[in-house]
Amino acid sequence: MILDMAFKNLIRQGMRSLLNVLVTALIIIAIIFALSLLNGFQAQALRNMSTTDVAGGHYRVPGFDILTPTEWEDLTLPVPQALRHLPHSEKAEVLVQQGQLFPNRRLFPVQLRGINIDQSLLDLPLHTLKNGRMEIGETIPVVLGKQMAKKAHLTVGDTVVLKWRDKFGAVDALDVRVMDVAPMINPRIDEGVVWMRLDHLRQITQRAGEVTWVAVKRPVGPVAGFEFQTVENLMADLLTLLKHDRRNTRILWFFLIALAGISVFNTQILNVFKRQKEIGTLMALGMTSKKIIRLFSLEGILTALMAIVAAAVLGVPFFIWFQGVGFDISHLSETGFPVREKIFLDIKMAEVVYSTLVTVGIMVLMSWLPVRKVARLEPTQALRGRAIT
Amino acid sequence: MIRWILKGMLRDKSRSLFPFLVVAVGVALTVGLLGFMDGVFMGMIDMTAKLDTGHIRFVNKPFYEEEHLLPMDRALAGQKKTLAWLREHGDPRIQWSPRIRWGAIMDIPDEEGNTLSQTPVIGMAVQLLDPQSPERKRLQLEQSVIKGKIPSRSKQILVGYQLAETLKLTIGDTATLMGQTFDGGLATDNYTVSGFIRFGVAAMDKKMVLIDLGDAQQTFYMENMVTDWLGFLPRSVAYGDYEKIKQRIEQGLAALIKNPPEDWASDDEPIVLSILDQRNLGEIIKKFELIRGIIVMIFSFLMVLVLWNAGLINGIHRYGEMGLRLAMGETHKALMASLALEAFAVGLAGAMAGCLVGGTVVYFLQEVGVDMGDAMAQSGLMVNDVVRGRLSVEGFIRGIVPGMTASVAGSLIASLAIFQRSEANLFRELETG
Amino acid sequence: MRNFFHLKFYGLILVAAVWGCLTAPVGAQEIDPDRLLVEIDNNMWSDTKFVIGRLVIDNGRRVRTLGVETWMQGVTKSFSHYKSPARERGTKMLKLENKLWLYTPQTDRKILIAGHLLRQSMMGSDLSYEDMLEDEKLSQAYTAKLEKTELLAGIKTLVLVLTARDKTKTYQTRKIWADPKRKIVLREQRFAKSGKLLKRIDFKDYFATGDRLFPRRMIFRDMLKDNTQTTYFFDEIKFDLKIPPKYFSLRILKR
Repeated sequence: MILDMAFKNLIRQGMRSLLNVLVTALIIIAIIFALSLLNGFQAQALRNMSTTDVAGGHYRVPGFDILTPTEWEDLTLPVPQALRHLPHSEKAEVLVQQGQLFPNRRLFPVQLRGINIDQSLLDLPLHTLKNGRMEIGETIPVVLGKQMAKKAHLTVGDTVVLKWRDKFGAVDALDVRVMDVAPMINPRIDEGVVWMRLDHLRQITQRAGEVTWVAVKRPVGPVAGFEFQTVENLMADLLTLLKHDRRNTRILWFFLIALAGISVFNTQILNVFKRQKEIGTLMALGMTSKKIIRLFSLEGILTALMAIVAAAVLGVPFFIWFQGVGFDISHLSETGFPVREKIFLDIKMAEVVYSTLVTVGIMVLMSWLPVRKVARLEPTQALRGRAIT
Repeated sequence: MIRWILKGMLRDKSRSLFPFLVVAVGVALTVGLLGFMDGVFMGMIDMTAKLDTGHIRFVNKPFYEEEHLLPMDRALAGQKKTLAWLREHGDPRIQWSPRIRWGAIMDIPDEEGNTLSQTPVIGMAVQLLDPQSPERKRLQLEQSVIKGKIPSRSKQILVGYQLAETLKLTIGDTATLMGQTFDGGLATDNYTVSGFIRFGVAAMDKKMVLIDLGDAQQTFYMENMVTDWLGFLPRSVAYGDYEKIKQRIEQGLAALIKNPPEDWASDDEPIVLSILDQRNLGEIIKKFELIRGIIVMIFSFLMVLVLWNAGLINGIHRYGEMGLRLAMGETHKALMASLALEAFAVGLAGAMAGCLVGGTVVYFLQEVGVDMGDAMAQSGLMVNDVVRGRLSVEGFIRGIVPGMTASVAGSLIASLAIFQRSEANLFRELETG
Repeated sequence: MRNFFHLKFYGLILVAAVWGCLTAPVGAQEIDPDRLLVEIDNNMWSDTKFVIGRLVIDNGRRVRTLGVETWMQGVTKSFSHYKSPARERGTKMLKLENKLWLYTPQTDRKILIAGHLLRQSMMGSDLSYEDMLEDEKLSQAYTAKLEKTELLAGIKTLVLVLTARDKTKTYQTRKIWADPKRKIVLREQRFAKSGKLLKRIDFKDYFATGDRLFPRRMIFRDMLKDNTQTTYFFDEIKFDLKIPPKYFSLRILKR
């Protein structure tokens, strides 16, 4: 009976109820949207790191640190037996060496990164290298990232002197030809990096069969002589940054919910205030204050439930539309975030349920708080509309 | 008449207090939200600004073009004269901070003074020693130095904590820097490790050290020279104004280059950059503004709905009163006007209160900040857990305008009903309440 | 950086001396290139040597001059002491075998220059500590082959291509323009393994000292860069003098 009454009350309030429902629904949508967009962004940032560099982790030569270039030359080893048999789709052999580029006859220290050209584990824009021959001719074909090309003032087709050391310490130099200036979706493999074929880099540094690390699709257990770097290790910095983003989204969520809460709270408080006579009548007719509180709270709960329905009706088409369009954030890549293209929502069911529940919970709380005082009402005063002033 | 309305409003909580509260909270939330979002973003800008780009940067062009090589020989001389010029020609709100970016080998000796370990480091020299130096606060050294102390005497060095771990340093150890002097000679100097600093970014924690500017000038023979002048603006200055501030400095620059301080090299050509010109921050800001715009739009829309609803509810409950007033001979128009006036007054008061509350919170975030992080989490100078805010006129306007219009519009729409209903009908609502 | 100075003595620089003018003129064809290399080394190397010199470093924007005194014994020991300018005064460098120590009065410490630090480019030029550490005579480190004869500054020279005997040599190929009559080198070029020219050294103004010929100055140029050059002036040079052992002891590295 109470449910029936509550529902009728709600319907009769017309526009006022509708607005509350709408607001709550929109807030649910906004929260899910914000969280999912962030998920999408994070997923993409992590995926890009993963597809361009980290994969499922690296088997690295122990002690190797990408931040200490002076030691790169000492830290290479032949590909370990355990990884040798892996297919190209499950491993990428990488050799990292120091080099010096001389654009405009000025020194530019670079990282030479050779990657097995047949690998398909990592997604890198190096197809121009693939077409080349294994032998090195007059020039070594290389690919540069956009940022790197800009910094070094180089464009496609340019040749520039590269100097390096071979395994034995002998100095060597040759012109390299920029085959392509490719957008690297991950700035960490762009700035200061000169990409070349692994066989070329091995050849010019006399390091046949050697690697600095082997990126693998999934760990294959301990490999003698190599240390395994987990994805978490390799992405620690990024994960910290993303954690902060997540916190900020939560705060945004707080603002939205506070707004919705206020709306429901206001409705309820005025309801109690202005519907004293109704409350008094109900009490006079024998309804307990508990039941009346339940009635009013139920109105709030119904608002929230209707909001969920409305959120589904409005939200689903919106999300479907958005997934088709995406959100372009191409410029972020130039600052250190490994995200370049459009990002899409990554809707996590648990999160949707969780945030909907929290929103509804707060709505219910907000509709219950103001009606608590009904319990203290004197029916006779209430009937006259003088119980609350 | 006005007194009468006022008295009525004050005595009837549903006429004054509730709408007032709703508007106030709504406006406070909007101001708070905008302040928070701007704070997050300004925080990001500030982190980059503090250690890297400044808000405004005055730097020698040849240095800037080969920044990745840290070409100290392209530093800018005439420190005092340059500062005087910058103060005269730059925006008076700018705090100028001279810096030297440098690179060197850090050599750690054993007890007998023989080399134990060596590693290349990237360094920044800032005015550290003076306890009053604004740089100490700017770089949040109190919080970022996780072990040891901020240098208090000459030739002390702050080392990134991961670098310190790698080199197995302890506080009080000697670290010898070996690099290049301004003119390409050999620079060597002993420093004492005074503390370990956490930047929160692995690349910096592993490779970066901080020394005092005066020490760097002595070590690298760069007396009266700096590589960078970083200009810092108060948080209250919007980043949108940076470009104007930059252009103002640029206007005087041609004359300066034509008639440079005598210490400058003949091919020195300083340029002015705003943070938006560097690290691609300009583009990111555009993106941020877009995102912020969307969020603010959604939020404002929701707030309008809420306030409209509040106005509607408040209005509807007064149908009885309206009937009474109509019956007593007030015209519909006069009644509407008085209702609108009332809503306006309440909206204004609510908006003011909202601004006050929201503004205070944001101001607190702006000036003090709230640490949201747990103590164990990885954080530091560049990435930290302190939530910041930023107060702006725009935030207030964006709060007040929808806050007031929505509540006025809400009660007006509610009061439109009085045109549709007869006085008797309205009057009856007085009875049933 | 003051170590530039070492360059000369350790084979970076070939200095040729003449064993008097007794050699009869010979045609290029009759000369054994490896033998010529030995003769060139013999002119340059002695048991001990003492040099007072100046290094003039021009990085394209600024010219710096360093005054330095150097004592050498064989190819593996050398000690240099910098005398000017004021801020470099008192800097010392000691080379023993393949180790290099640096002492500066500012730090009052012995800093070991080893490993990859040896490759550090110094003074904005492309010459490295490693370049200064070369400790073999050319004739020991390289085999020579005659490429051609060429007129250089009006002098008929033999162009010898030197190929490293050991693949760990920094420069696997060099070319020298040798005057077969005087047994001196007028020009040297150093190449990358690929054959790309990296460095050029010109030997100027030979003068007679004792029974040797020595250049007054040597000019180093990095061929990958513009506008940089380093010149080593030999103001005073003594051969086969007695050098007290303390000069080649780590204890000398103090104030």
